[in-house]
Amino acid sequence: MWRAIFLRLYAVAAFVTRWFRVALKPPYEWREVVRQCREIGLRSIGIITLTGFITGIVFTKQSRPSLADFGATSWLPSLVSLALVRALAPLITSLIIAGKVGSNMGAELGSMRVTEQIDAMEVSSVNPFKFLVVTRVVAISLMLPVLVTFMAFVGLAGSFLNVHQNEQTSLEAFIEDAFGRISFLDLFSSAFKSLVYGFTIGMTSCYMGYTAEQGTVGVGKAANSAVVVSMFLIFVEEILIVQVVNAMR
Amino acid sequence: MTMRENTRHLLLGIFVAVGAGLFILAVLTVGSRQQSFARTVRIRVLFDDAQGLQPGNNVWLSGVKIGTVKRVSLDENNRVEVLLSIGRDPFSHIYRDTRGKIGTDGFIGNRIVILYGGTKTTGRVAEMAVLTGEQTVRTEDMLATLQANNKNLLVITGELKVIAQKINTGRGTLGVLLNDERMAGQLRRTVGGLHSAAERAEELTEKLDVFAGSLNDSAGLVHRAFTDTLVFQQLQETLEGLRTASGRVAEAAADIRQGTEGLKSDRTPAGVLLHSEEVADDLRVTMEHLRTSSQKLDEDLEALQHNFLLRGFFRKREKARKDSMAKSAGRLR
Repeated sequence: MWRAIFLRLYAVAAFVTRWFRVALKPPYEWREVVRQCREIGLRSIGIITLTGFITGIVFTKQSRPSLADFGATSWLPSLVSLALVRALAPLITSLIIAGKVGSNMGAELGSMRVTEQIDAMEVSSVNPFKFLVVTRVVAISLMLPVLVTFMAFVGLAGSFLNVHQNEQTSLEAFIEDAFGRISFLDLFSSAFKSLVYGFTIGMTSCYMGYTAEQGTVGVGKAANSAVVVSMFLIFVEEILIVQVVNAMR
Repeated sequence: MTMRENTRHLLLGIFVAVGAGLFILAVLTVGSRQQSFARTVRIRVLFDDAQGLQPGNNVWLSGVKIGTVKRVSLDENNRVEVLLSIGRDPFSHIYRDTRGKIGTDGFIGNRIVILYGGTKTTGRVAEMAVLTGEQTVRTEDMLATLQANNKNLLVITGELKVIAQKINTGRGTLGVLLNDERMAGQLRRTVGGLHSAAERAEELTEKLDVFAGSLNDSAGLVHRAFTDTLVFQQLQETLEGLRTASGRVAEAAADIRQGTEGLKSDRTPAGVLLHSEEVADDLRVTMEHLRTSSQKLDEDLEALQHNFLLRGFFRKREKARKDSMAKSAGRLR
């Protein structure tokens, strides 16, 4: 068992190392990167908008009673904005993308592996690792920060609607309060987290799909593993990054 | 590249641009809030207690946010040196005698540095100058005072409870007043008495009113005394005479008092005569002697009248007296 674990860890490390080696070496597959960005980014806007908006409203509604006990409902904008920027937006977006895009990547690459399409690409002049893995990981790493920013603003919009409806707070006052407590560290740590989560989702999903075995069963397994392992790693990374950021604060 | 691909690329470009734009907007908003992109000036404030102040906390002047706390550190005397970053414009409103204190943004909000006071005549503060910080009342102190008040309130309510119980059970003056029917009757009678007294006072007032009216009557003596100058002058003279007479009476009374004092004293002859028993005894003996002496003298004088040397004289005088009486009787006839 331990042997299998260490062999798997070696395989993962070798996969990541290969990614950096291949990604930095030209030629670059920009067209495929752009296509993947479109697939990952544009195709996810709908669900991210909906989820972000609902998150903003629900978090505001759930926080109100606790703050109302102290007569501090005016803190709702700063509370929601801090929660969204520091944790909710990166985490929820990453989990959604892990579920939506990660499973897609795992299944797609797994399918290509078990149908020997990747082997066929290797026979031809195309580098399948560069074309399939590097482009996807780069695309998801670039798109996730954008999606996180988008979700944070949509969440704030939902929060504003709720706050405005209940506390009659103006947009100007809401923005003043919402950004009053946010620091540069919060913004950049959130962007960094998104980048790391994107990279993690991309690498995990591609690894699971690229190394899929056992035919169609392996495809399902790769898709499932891509989501589960990505989510697990995201939570582990969240703990580590929060510790580091809090130490810097 | 097909038209469809172009559209897809355009949409992706817009999406990325919007995302990046939003991020830049957030950075700029946070930066403007923290005055990260504005030119700032730094000053220091010394406090005895930082009360949990942290870098990033706001600085207020007259309720307006003018900067942020950049650093909180201890100096060699264990005082807290707080470095403030202030915007250039509001910095011109800070004077040398401006003071700082640590407060909170709202009742349970973040710590803030509040700059207050300052007079124009002292001049504007220089960069990196040190302002004096004042200790403010902390929440813990307020709660301690509140706790003391609660204890006092507890004692007061306890005592009030005892008083209320006494009143309810008819003990104490108030209790008797509220519960004793006999006392109520007495009070009622007292009030009745007061009522009748008030009526009498009213009558008296009416009479006084009438009297006052009579004073105003021009034919009355009092009115004349107050209005007629001749009568007033006479009254004044009379009063002057009375004053003189009373002065004299006072002098006489003083003399009498002095005489009486003399009589009371055993050092004056009269006092000795009045008070000394020895003198009284002497006087009594002297009087006795005088009485016996005068008796004897009377006898002696009687004897002298029959003495041959003086008998002639007395006979002549008797005869003259009888002649005089006869002449008088003759004239009467």
